[in-house]
Order: sequence, then structure tokens, then C-alpha cells
Amino acid sequence: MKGKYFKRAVALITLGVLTLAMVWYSAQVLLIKRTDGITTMQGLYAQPEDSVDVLLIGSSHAGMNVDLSEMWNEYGISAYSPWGSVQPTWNTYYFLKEALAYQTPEVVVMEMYGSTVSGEYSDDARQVTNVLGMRGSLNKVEAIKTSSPPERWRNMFLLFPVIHGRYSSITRDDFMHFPWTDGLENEKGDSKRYGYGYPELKDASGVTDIMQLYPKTEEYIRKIIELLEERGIPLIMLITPTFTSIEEQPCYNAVQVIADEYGVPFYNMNLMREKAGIDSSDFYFDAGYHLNTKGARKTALFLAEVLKEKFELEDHRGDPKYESWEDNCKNQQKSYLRMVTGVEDYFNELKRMDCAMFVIKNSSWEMSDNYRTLLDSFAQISSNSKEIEASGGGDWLLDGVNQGTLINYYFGDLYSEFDYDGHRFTADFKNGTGISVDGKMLVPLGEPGVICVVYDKESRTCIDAVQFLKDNNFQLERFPVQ
Amino acid sequence: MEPEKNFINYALFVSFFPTITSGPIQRGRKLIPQIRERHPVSFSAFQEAVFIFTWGAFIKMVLSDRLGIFVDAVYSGSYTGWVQVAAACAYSVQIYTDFAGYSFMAIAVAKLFGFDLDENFHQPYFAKTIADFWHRWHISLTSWFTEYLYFPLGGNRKGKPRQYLNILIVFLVSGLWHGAAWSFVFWGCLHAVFQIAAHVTRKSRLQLAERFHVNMESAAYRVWQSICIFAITTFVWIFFRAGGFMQAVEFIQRVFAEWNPWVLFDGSLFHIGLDPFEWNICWGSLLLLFIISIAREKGYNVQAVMRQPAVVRVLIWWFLFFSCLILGIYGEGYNASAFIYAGF
Repeated sequence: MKGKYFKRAVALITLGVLTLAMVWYSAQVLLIKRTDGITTMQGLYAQPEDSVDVLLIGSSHAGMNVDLSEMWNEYGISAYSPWGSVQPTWNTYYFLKEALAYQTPEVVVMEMYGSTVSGEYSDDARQVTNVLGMRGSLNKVEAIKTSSPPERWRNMFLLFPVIHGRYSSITRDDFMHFPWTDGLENEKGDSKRYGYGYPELKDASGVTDIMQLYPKTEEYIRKIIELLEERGIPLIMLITPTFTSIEEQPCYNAVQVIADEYGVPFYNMNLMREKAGIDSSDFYFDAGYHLNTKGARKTALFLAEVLKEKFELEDHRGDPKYESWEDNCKNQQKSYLRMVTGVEDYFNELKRMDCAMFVIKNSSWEMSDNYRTLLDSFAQISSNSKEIEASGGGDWLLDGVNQGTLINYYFGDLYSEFDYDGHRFTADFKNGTGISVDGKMLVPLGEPGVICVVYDKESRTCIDAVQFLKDNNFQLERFPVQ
Repeated sequence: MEPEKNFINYALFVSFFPTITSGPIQRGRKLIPQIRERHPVSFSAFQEAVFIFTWGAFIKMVLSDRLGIFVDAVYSGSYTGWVQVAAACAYSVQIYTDFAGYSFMAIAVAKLFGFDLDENFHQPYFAKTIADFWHRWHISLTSWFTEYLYFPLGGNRKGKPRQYLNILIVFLVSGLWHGAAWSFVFWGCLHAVFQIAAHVTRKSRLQLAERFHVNMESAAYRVWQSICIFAITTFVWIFFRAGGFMQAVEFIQRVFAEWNPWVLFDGSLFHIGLDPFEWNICWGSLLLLFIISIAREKGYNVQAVMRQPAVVRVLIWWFLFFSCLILGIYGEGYNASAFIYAGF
């Protein structure tokens, strides 16, 4: 009899454990991913222990207006940003508390756009994105209770009422997103954007009004400052450039008052555009709410110089423990290259990379202004652009974009193949099949123009394929590279 | 049965929590003896309860609430023709699975405490007549009205006209019991009319069947009967759902406003609340419900599941449980566009 009860207990416990495991797995699959706030927080957990020297907290103005990979590239600063879109200061506080449980940064930089939030709660989606990435903890419980109205707490705590509706949107990636497979250790919270908003920039230096911050917003700014004081971690407050500077300046003036009260350095880049080098509208993305990568690099360098001046931040380049920052930098660079559509911008990015280019000019044509501009761009990365200009059709390999060495593989019978770095490159005009690498078609041959395949030496893969067609005024067009 | 003199037992009977909200309506002669007796919960009863509860949750959360999205969209819109027909049919399934699902869950909770309750729904849309329908639908209410209203009025013991009047009274009261609105009264009245009409025409229908050599015991005829009952009850449910008598009339008028059966095939229904993926879930759940209903009609019940190997039972339960957890209509819904980072 006792044996029967024991067996039943074991069976029930086993069933319970298996069921809970499947519920956990289902939650992992259904969890909203690749969204600000959620993956930026999950990525923080994936960072090597005590590796983050600079923690950049705040809203999208933190994550999108500061290019952390540029800080690494130039100074070897290991920075991470667990940002969330339209993140109010209370969520920033709980994110900070969470971060400090896993990292001990040398300095915390708080982007203060969140100080403009006025309202007891964010919109429904942001209430989710600014807490769901956190691990289960008392801190998360407090974050949920602070971020959402009481009638929503149950759904947020149970999780499934919020996420289960994703069942019709799940993809292969959702089944790959586990702490041991998602690769988040190589992401640092920043991202790249290519585009130009060209907003009208306004001078906010004459705005002296001081507005009353929303009470809950101010309460949590003070909590953040006091928490860091308690932990002995210095804080810097920052406003990255925004085209809505005049409207928001009264709010930032109020932030200045708080900063002065606590003795916290506060840099309002809207009032320092020239010094930061962001003095024109072509550093802005979309309608101007955020900076593009050109602008984000500028703010990163500005911030890095401020930090280097004030703190002794170690240069971690070459340190194996910080390999993920190097990987992030390279991955970001490659993905950004594939975003760029402007000819001049494209070649500027190539100059920053260590790659080779496989170039084909498939016909000949008369000189034009646009073609001259393209050749001048080639001239920036190669000393042999004149050969490209002169040729009536052939292929060249520009080895080492920054070195400008040219290897000429001219082909007379419209077919050419050669080996480079262990790969077989083929250009087939004869059968019209196009350019292929190791038998895999990259670029079909088409209209008269110049075709370029970019080969990354570090990853030993082709990372981009573009063409500049005569009939399209030699503007950049891109082929998808798998 | 003897009157219950123990106030605690009586209070427990009246306030029996699994059924107090929405039934099944319990009769004293069934429940009070169970309250008086000691009946420990057995492991097998626990297992049965878990299965019954999960099945009830499945048909409610996965099928009923999902069809409700389509039904609500049509009833609040101005669709015509076969879209209306589809919504009316969907509502017939929705109200059945909603109510039956709840009843299954209530029965399961009672079973967890060692109480056996009678089933409340017995495949009502397999009924062959309206009377048969009411012996299968909300059985506890039907038996209550039969015992406390129909029989005291005289039942069928005082001649046909009086019997028909008694049926009409019972259904009018039943309509009022469902809601204090003319639409519910009319709904009850229609059921009475159809039931009386079935009585009145029974002899002629038998003669007609004999004349045309229709085998009324054949499976095909039984299916035909069920289809007719489904059609009749679906028509009458319109008055139950529409939210008012005139709204129901308007709904019916829109059915005949346009002849458009192609809407059932050209994807039009995919733009009314439910996309193709959701419809697939509905059809899959409906198929499962149909199979289970056939099995129950043939006398199989939850004990048939209990006789299966443990692995099979676990897999069945997991299927039902995770269907509810992932596909159930609850919580906030997910709107992907709200999470696309725009206008931060």
C-alpha cells in the first residue's frame, strides 16, 4: 500500500516537473524578442561578470544616439546600454538596480530624455517591454507594480496572458532564443541606423524656463542618484542631441537644478552642438527624433572624451575577457555596411574596414559626372581607379581596401575564375550566369555598370554585393547576400 | 427524500460553490445525500476530474471564445447573406461549448471534492426532435422546469390542448428565466411553437415517411434529423444573441438581403475577426469536439480515457492543457504593431 502511494507521488511529481519544464519552454518560445527593453535587459545578463565599465541607461536616446561600438573601437571602453523605448525614469531605476546586481560599472551615464515623461504609466506595450526582459526577482515585482496599473498586475505576473497571443507570429528564431543559443553576449544594447531626417535644428540656449517635472518622474531621478551615491558609483547625466530641443529645454533646465543639487555633472549636448560636432541636420535619422549612426558616433566620441577626462577607464582592446565587445564592433560594422545606400557613405564605411573588393566593370560607356563621382570614391580606397575607368570590360580584385593593391584578372573570353583566400570566385559573362563564390550565385549579370563584392577578411565571407548601373546614374543598388 | 433538518447541510447544498454561479442546477435528492455521507476523494476521481476540467476549459477557451470573436464582429457589423448564416451557425456552437465547457469544469471541481454531479449537456445537436434537444441541453434546467412547472400544470395528463399550453407556459417562463427581455420571451415561445408543431405533425410525418419508404431508423435519416434540429435551434438562437427583438429581426432580414454563398469559399470570412490561422484552430477544435461527441453518444466517457496507458493519458492531458495555455482566448491579446518601435 505504501509502495502504491509512493509510486503515485513520484509519478505526480515527475508529471509536475515535466509540465513545468514545458511551460517554461513555451514561455521562452512565446516571449517577445528582439525588442528594446526586453533583449537589452536579457543581453545584460549575458555579459561576462564585472566586465561593463560604462553603463548607459535611459530611453532610446541612450541606446540609439550613442554608438557604443565606436567607444570600443576608438578607446577600448566596455560600455553596455540596457535601454528601453520611451522608458520612464521608474523603469530606468529598476533596470539600474537589476544591472547593479550583475555588474559593477566604473561610471553610470543616464540619458535624461526620460525626464520629459509626464504620466503615471507608459502605454501598454512599453509597460511590457520595460519589464518582461527582467529575470524573476523582487526587483521585477516592484518594477511591474510601479510600471502598470493594479488591474494589469495579474496578467503581467502570470506572463502568459501577455505573451501567449504571439502563437501565430512565432518563427524559427523564437525556437532558438535560449540563454545558451541567442548570442546576446555579443550584443551591447546599441544598434545602427542609416538614413537622414534633415530636421530643422533649433537653438535652445535662450530657453531659461524651468518646468515642474512630473512628480513620479522626479521621484525616480532622485532615487537613481541616491542609489548610485549609496553604491559609490559616479553618475553623469546626459542629453543627446534632439531636434525638439526648444520644447524640451524647460524640462532639462529642471534636470539641471536637480543635477546641481546633487553635484552630478550634466551635459546637455543640445547646447554643445558645435563642440560635439553634431552641428548639422544630416546627423539625424527618421524625422529627427534620433540620430543616425554618423551622429551616434559623434556623441559616442564626445561622451568617451568626457569619460576619459574624468575617470580612468581601462583600454580593454586585446583582452580576451572583452572579446565580445570586439565581436560586437565587427558585427555592427558589417551589418551597417549592408544598410548604407549612399555612394559616398558606402566608401567611407569601407575605409573603416579590413576587407577586399571584387570589382567587375561589365561594359564601357562615356564619362559622366556620376561616374566620375564613383571613380573618385574608388580612388579613396584604391590607387588603381584609373584602370577601372580605362577598361572596356573585365574584372579586378582590389585586395585590402585600405591598401589599394590591385590584382588584375582580365578575361578575354567573357569568363574568369580565380582563387582567393581559399574561395573560388567566378565571373561568367559567356553563359550569363553572373558572379558566384564557391558555386553559389551572388550577383546575376545584368545592365551595364560596375559590380562590387565585398569580402571580409576576418570572417572570410562575402558580406555585401552591390552594383552601380549606368542607367541608374551609378547609384548604389544592393543584392541580398546569404 | 426526507427533509433536511441540518442547517449546515442545507446551507452547503444551497451555496455549493462549484455550481452556484451557473449550474448545473442541483436537486436536493441528488446532492444532499452526498453531503450527508463521507466520501473521500480517490486518486482515480482526481484524475477524472483533471481530464474533465481540462476538456471543459479547452472547448470554452479554444473554441467557444474564439468563435465569439467572429460572431461578435458579424452581429455588430452590417454583413449580409451567408456571412450572417455562418455567424448564426458559429453562435450555435459558441453558446454550446461555452455553457457545456463551464458545466464540465463545475462537474470536475465537484468531483475533486468527492461529489458526483449529473451531466448537463448530452450532445444536444445530435437531437432528433426539439423535445429530444431539451433532454440533452441544460438537462438540469429542463428537469427542474419539468418537475416544478410542467408536471404541476398537468403535464400531458389533461389532453392535447392543455399539454400544448403547458409546453408554451414552460418555455415562456424559461425564456424569462434567461433574461427579462422580449427577445428571450420570443426565443422561448419559438421553442414551444416548434415543439408543439412537432407533436401536431408527428402522425403526418410518419405517414409521409411510410409513403416514401423512408427508413427512419437509418443513419442517414438520423443525420437529417440532427441537421434539421441544428437549423431550427440556430434560427431560434438568433433571438437569444441579437440583444433585442428588433435587432434579431434585422439580423434575419440581412440574411435574405443578398444571395452570396461564395463568401464561404473566397476568403471573405478571413477578414471578419478571425484570420485563416484562427479559423484552422476553430476547425481543428470542432473536429475534435465532433469526435468526442460521437464517442460520448456511443456511451464512452472519461473512464475510457482512464483505461488507456499512463503515457497516452499524459499526452492527451498535455495536448488539452497546452492548447488552453497557448491557443486559449484570454489575457490581453498580442498586437505585433504595438511593439514595433515607432515614435519613441
